Amino acid sequence: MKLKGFYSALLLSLSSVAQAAGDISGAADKQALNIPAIVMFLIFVATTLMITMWAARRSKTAGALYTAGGGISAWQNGTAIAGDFISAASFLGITSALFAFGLDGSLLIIGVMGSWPIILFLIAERLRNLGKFTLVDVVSFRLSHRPVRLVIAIASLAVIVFYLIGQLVGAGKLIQLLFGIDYLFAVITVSVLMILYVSLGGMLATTWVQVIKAFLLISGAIVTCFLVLQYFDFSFTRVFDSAVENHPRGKSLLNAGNWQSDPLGGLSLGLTMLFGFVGLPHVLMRMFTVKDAAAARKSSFIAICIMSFFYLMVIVIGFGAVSILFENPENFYDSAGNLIGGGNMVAVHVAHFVGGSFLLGFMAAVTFATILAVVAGLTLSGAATVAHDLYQTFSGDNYSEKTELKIMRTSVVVIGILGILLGLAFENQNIAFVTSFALVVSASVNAPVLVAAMYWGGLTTRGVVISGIIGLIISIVLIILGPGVMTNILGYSESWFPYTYPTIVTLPITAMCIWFFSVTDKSQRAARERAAFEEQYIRSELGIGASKASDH
Amino acid sequence: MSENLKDLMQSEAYTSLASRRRRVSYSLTAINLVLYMAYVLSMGYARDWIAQPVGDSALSVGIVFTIFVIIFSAALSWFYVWWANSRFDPALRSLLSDAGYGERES
Repeated sequence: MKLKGFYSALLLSLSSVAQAAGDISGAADKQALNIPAIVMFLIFVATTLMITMWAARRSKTAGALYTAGGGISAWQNGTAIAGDFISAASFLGITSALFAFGLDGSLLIIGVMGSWPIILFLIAERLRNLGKFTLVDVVSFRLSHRPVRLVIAIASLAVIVFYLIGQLVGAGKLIQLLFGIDYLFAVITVSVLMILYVSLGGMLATTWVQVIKAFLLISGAIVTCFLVLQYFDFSFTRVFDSAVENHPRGKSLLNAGNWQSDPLGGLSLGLTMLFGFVGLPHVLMRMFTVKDAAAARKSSFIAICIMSFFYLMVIVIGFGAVSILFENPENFYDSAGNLIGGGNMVAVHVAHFVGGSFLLGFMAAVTFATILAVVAGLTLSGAATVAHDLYQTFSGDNYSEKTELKIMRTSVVVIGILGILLGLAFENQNIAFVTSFALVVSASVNAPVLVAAMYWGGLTTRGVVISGIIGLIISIVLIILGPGVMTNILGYSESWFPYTYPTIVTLPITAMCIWFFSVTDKSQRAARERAAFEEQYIRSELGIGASKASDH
Repeated sequence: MSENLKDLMQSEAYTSLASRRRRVSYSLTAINLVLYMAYVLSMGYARDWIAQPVGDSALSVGIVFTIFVIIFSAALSWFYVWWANSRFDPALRSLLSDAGYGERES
């Protein structure tokens, strides 16, 4: 049996790093209409729209729209954060990567598990104490608002928009596969629902959609994992013994190097995930939806627990899939030896095999729901960046909250329409670079600037602005010169830069720039900014003066 | 900044609490980073070790390491939250109320 579809599994898992539903590189044949899946999905849509109507009545102010007025409980918030990470892509993409590359696929899991404790130990509480709606609030806390907000808002928007494209293209293809509906129709459905959730229900509706979906996805994963274990008579080691026997890679399946053969490439991927996840604007924004720093801490911990439990199940499902799929090839491979539906379908096939058409339909519906939930969160943080960080800062005396709300809702619609157009433009492109771009910018600009703003008193406006611009530019240049664009899109036989994820170069450069352009800043403004650190430190540590649940 | 907040910040009680907090969160971060880098680097540079079987099953060191990192990250996080909730927060709250800040404003 041939092992085609590995390449597309690779691409999917790459983009799953960024929770994109991933690239199916043209292999997405339209399937027969999947009626049970459509019915279950419609139930989900009806429920979430009802919640949106309810949330809309409570979301009349900017604070309510952006962060649900700080009134989300730590449990809801933690589940929603976990939901942002355990997306369709991490379920489908990581199981496929484990199935195809074995152990190397788990790099994608450890990336998430490595970055979250850092968010908990260093970021979550201070972020909550310092900010109001966005991470830009925190970076600009004691710095000159206009230039800092402009640069960091642009970096945030770059992350959000590229992430969104990855999600939408992947979504369109997955939905086409799972539901048997048209790509265009799928992308439009996602965008329209997302516009409704976000513009009417704001953060409250977005959080609920994410919580419900996380609950459904975890339930589906528990059932699948249980049935997979049953296939192996509940012997954990047999899952792996049998995988090694069945997989063409044999014993090397459980060794490293099947995917990241170049150790430095693997290291750069590792750094990209570690710091990229720390700087994601739509995830950090969730820290502002709870009442105080202690609740932000609790949310992060709940998210970590849910994710670790989920990923342990993904390991079982991914390696269990090897035996299930190879022992029953007639069900899963077409006559040419390709996995039916493409390389991403591993988890879906397993669910179908162990749980029949009900579990298949359920997982398909949850996949759709998952994409919707993640896309809604992204759009919300994009709109908050435009309306809060850009409009509010640059409107000066003309500012009014009514206009801000109007701008926020308009941005949601604009982002939605932009999403449809870009989704169409990128339909047949290899989109792996799109999501790598989002994570690299997050790791090379957002994360170092955010950490410096919270922990280093010497940081000045000049340091942030110059390093932000340099970080953005070198990220773009190195990604274009790397394999993701130069080889895969432009068709050169060799790329000038060897790694898809240039973080190993870009992050140190940005960090050096932050330091250099801050310490050499001798202006009076810089002196004032350094002096203001003490007050910021007190607020970040004690929470005195932090924006309260009610006033935002 | 009010005078008694300034006094509080300079008090021995507060500075020792703050340095304890720094010690805890920085050392947990360091442990987490070391473990993460050990994982990523051994996946690249110690493949002989990663491939070694564990026990008499096909299970390799790499798989066990992966599961260990997942569980250890959660355990480390649990420790931090336990410490912050049961040690740090009460101590800070009592310092603040002694300084006249009553209920911790946040």
